Amino acid sequence: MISIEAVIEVEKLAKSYGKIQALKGVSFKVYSGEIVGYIGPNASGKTTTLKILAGLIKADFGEVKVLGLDPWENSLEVKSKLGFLPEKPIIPLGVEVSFLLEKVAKIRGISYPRREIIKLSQTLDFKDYLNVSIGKLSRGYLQRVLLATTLIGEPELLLLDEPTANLDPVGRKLLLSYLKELSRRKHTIIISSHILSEIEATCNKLIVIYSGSIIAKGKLEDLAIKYGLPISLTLTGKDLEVKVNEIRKLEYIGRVLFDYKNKLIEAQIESSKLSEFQDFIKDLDLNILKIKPPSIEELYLKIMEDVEIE
Amino acid sequence: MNRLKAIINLISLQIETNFKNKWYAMIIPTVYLFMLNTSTVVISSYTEPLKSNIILERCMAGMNITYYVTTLLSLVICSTLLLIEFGENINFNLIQPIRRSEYVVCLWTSTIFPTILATMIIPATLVSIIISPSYALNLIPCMSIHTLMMTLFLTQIYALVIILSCFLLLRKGVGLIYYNRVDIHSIDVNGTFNKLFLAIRSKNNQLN
Repeated sequence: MISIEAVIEVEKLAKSYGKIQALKGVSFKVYSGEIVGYIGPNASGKTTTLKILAGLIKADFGEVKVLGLDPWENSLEVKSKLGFLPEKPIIPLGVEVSFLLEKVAKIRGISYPRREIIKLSQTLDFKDYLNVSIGKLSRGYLQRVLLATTLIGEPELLLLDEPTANLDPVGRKLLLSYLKELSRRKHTIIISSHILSEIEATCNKLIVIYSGSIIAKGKLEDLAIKYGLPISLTLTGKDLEVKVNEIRKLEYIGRVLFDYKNKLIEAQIESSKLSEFQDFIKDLDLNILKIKPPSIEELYLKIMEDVEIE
Repeated sequence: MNRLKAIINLISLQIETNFKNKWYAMIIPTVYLFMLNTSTVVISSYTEPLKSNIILERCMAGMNITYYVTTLLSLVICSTLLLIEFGENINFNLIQPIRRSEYVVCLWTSTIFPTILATMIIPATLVSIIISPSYALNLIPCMSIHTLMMTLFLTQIYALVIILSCFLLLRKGVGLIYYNRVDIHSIDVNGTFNKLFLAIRSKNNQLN
């Protein structure tokens, strides 16, 4: 039974292309305001999932709800509330950037397209190219325009397949900070990318797909605990010079750094010992300032290693 | 009303793209068919008094066949080129909030309408505007029988070129779909394209 509070609910989703089984019973939920990293090796089923969510292809089996609606049966309603950047985007060439964006805005029923276009062109830094023919744009600027066609009207839900492809570092930074801002305003975003550092910098939840099946999902901290990876904690409190030595005596403790200047302790511990460590520092009258999970790359490699062993 | 506005905007975007990227698909048949129409009108007027000449009569019959065949082929070439343009934009069109049935309307309006305009309406209108008054006012200079035969010969050669381009173009169109350059599995107009895609995928797998 599917509930209505999640923005995306997928249950036992299956899809085949002839004899190729692209999805084998995929299930997950995404809630409002989350930025989800949807990662996995090539041909694992990421694009197929996104296309089903966008209502472009029909699932063979399973239940899908996007914004409370079946994206295939109610494709018009769903598409008017979502922005989809496909893996292999194709854009009409020959027309000017502003002409294309104006048409897209009008198709999406935006009342003041010109205002939206100028705002987006400033955000994604292509305002000098508004009167240039799309065929004459460089790859990076073409990607910015594609993103603009996806982001125009600030849809409630964004499905982005490799959004930073061809973007320079400035373009990436602008896009990722804009996505974070949208997330703060309760927009929901799914990003499929192979650039794990960007997923780490942007996403607060991870879904890992492998050969058509979900093999891991959840918050990075939770996944670190599940896969037994070390996590880093930043501690603060009084008499740190003395207490740092107490921490160093622990068996399960990894690297411990003491920042004299800022009066902070950074300790690396086995994730499975987190609750034990929390009790210990409570007795020492120390507070946790920040929990830093392992890098997403370490986590991804560990997940893949486990799958291959199985 | 909003739905109508959305469809009109998608159609106008597609027509603009068609004109910018495939202008030759519309200009070349228009000019060619205008010339063909003109020569047919002029030649018929000259051959009318010479109907007893068996060679000329056969030439005229050949010219009429050429006229119909090349018009039809121009129509096929023009619509195929515009369809390819639409096909290349299909991924972009499909992610827009438009119903699947509305895509069919957009497809027809942005492809078939300009085709009919380029191959039928504009050439015929130009002939009626330019040639008919000239003919009525006897402004068209007399042609010798050699010029007439040469015109017929060139028209036949032109027809051959058109047939060859038509063949090459259709081959490109089929190739485009076959090699999946068009992301055809995105389309599901009553499941037809899905079935086509599955057939292509299964064929590709067999080949691999």
